[in-house]
Amino acid sequence: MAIGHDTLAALIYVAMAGYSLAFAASALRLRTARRVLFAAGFIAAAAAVAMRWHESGHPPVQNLFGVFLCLGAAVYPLSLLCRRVLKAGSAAFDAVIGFVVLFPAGFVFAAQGPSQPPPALQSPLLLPHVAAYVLAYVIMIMAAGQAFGLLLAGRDNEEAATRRELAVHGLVRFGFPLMTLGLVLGGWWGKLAWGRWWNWDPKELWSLATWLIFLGYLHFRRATWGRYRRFNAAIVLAGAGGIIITLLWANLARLFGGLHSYAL
Amino acid sequence: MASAAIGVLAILSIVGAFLRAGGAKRLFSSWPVAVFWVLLAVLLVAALALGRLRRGGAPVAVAHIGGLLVLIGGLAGSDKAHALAGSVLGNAKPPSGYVVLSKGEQSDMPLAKDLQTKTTKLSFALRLRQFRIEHYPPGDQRWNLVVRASMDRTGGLELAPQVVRWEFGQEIEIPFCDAKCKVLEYTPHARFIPPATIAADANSPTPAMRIELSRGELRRQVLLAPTEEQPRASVSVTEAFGLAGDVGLHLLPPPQRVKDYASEMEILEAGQVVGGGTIRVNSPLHHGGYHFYQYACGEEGGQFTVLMAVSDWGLIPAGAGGILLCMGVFWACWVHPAWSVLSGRKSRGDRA
Repeated sequence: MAIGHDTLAALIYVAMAGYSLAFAASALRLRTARRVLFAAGFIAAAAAVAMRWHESGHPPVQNLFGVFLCLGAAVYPLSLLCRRVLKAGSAAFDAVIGFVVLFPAGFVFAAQGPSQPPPALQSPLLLPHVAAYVLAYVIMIMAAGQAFGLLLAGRDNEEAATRRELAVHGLVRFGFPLMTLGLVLGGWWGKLAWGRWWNWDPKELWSLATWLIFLGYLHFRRATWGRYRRFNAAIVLAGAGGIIITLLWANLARLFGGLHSYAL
Repeated sequence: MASAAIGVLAILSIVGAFLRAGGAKRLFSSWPVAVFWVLLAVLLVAALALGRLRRGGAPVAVAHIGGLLVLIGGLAGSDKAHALAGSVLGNAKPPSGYVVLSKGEQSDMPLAKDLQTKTTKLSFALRLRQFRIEHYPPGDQRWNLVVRASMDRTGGLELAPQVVRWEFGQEIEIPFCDAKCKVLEYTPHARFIPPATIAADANSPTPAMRIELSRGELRRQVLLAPTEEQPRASVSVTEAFGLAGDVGLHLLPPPQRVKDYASEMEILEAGQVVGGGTIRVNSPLHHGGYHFYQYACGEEGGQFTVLMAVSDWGLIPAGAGGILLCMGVFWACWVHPAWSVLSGRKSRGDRA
């Protein structure tokens, strides 16, 4: 646990405060306050991303600090997009996601300063590869939130369950292509840098497993015409578990040392 | 059946993640899993041929063709496929090999991973015109204070250098002796004016540091001022206090981080240069069915380069498969639903 004392850290803490207060405003049904606070949190998070980018001279996607920072900034625009266009998602839950993903940037990896990228990370594919995954992960976690709500909802409220089920499907369908793009771009980059599409790295395998879980959800839901709502919701929650493992456990545990490991 | 196959593959991926790269590669290349891959490919072909994907329309079919091509590309480019081709067709082309070259040297013989065993002769030769390691500019990083010590004054039995962390005004214990050091002044870009003056000079790439050495009540002020011509500035702590042994304090630039490795290559056929280019970490060179990648270099840098030669029969199907997979998935999940919504709105508008 580390606390930053610079402007960048202050922006992250302001963003976290904005997101948590937006959640509180949402719980108190203060719609305007929620909107303003959520947007303010986003502005602070986006400013932190811009500041880090300016400081380091390259997009902040090279270490976990940068990735969590980008996740925190991506939440608000994606939440807005999903709620307005897909009519799916909940601002309160999305604000919680924003707070949670910024927590590691603010308190766990706060000491990770900008560094000059090693040769392999200077690929033009780095930014689109990580950006596709960042966007996909945020959307899939939003879907998991809806899936969790579906599992908690009583069996008697058919209308609400149907609405949530459609929201989960809409969100997964929105995030899955981005996840596929991230996977394919990663393979292409691996081919250019190391001569192999696939290096059997633990993180690659976790991200493949996560992709397969969501692919399995789409297949199973289609094959069963969306009948097993709760089972489908459980698959999406398992996929969210895969995302958390891919982002944290596979990166940090010595158990999974490899090309993507920050633990060694 | 498709969902079950996806489930099996997800479980295999999770198991593989616990086996690390080597174990996972062995697992996924084992014969039972190879049979699974082939069955999966057959399942995809059957689904396409029997029209089982009709419900999803063209985008779902495109995504599945992409997946099938990735699978075919992966199988064709695998070590097993190369071994099979070697035993059945007599094609001894190895999937990968390594070429070790010093400046001006040429080779047409990739080596095995032990960098000793010869593999198969290439139909062309590679010549290293030049190899260089490119560094990031040092920037405004503070220079390091490094202690170097040896057990006797002749420089014998030298101990590993130690970098000492320094802050202005803080006394630091100097390793290997009972003296201390305090940084009094540090000018990042400095010009040394003899006998003992430092002037700030933005054009100077070297810093200057004024330190105070102390041992008990004894104190000595020293100016460490490296220049472009003499980039090493140091003081002997043991000499300053008349001590035995040899302990020196050096002001050294921080180690420069490597930006890239670049091997400038020429391709020769029958002694004539027929091509070439610069191989970098993310930029391989392609010739004669092989891709050459920057793999390693000599420890001190610059003495030699190690290139990895890769032959991949699955390159085109796997590449095309990746593109089709993305196209199909985006089409099925984004374009198709958006089109349905828009056309629905349009038809409702027409009816109105």
